Amino acid sequence: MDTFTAKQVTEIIQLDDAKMNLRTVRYYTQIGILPPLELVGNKRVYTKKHVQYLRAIITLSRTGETLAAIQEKLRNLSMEEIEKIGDQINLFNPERVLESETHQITEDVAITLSPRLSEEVKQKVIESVSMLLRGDRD
Amino acid sequence: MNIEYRLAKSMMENEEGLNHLWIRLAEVDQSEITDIQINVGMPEGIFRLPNLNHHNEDEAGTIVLAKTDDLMLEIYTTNQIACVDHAITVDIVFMDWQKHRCMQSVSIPIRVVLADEMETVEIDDEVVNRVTQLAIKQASNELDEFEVIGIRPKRLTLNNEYSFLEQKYRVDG
Repeated sequence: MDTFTAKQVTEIIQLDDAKMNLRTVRYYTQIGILPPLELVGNKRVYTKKHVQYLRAIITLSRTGETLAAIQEKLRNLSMEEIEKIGDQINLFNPERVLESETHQITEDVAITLSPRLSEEVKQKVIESVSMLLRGDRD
Repeated sequence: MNIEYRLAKSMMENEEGLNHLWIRLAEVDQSEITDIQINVGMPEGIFRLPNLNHHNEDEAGTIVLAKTDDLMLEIYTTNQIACVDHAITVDIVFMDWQKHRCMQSVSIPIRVVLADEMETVEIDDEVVNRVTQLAIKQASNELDEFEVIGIRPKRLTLNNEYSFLEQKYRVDG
């Protein structure tokens, strides 16, 4: 099992969110937003589970949720589900949200397109996915 | 006026520490209090974010309330400071029910310790519950870098149904 100190966890999380800091990681641990630390020998340590929790918390906080609502949402989720939420962290990166366009193709499918794509490519992507979905329905 | 204050943590780290100070103002005998201005004096090396309740706060940090309410302050340390008891001073100027301008002050002790000594920290769950109900603000090292996160993605809804003419004339391959 990989174990980390609070400082190491902060450094890992800062790759996704440069504004996350050591004091917030410590605080979330102390007030029980994060699961209790693992005991290895006589030391309490962070594990990958805590990293996944933090990524999920940051992702949900970027959608405007309060910590209370986030706690409630994460309470009954499996680690796999928490990891899935955390994997969307970059979709809600403020810079990315401001620059990118999200196209809702159907109720079930949305595509986020970077401004680096030309208008022509964007249109082709939208049309291709739309056609694919129409094909599924037929 | 009654001034009640509580801290989320009984102590905080002298370096990279975070805590919340919850101040609750209440009238005595329901006598009306208005035009409240709050100034918070932070000890050297301990900083605070703009109040988490979104009460009006000017550039000088004076918080203005129309009537008694609660106030949540996020306080933090960045670089190492002395591990001693520090004090936050809170000066409150207000108009009492007789329209007299009054002032009350409180000095709130803050215990600052090494991170290794935090094992015995006591958490005030009621303060924490209140903190978690408020919108998250993210601390940064400089206040002018502060920004509220929580931007929802811009979305463009496309009508993905075939138009009447498409339905009528389309040729399936």
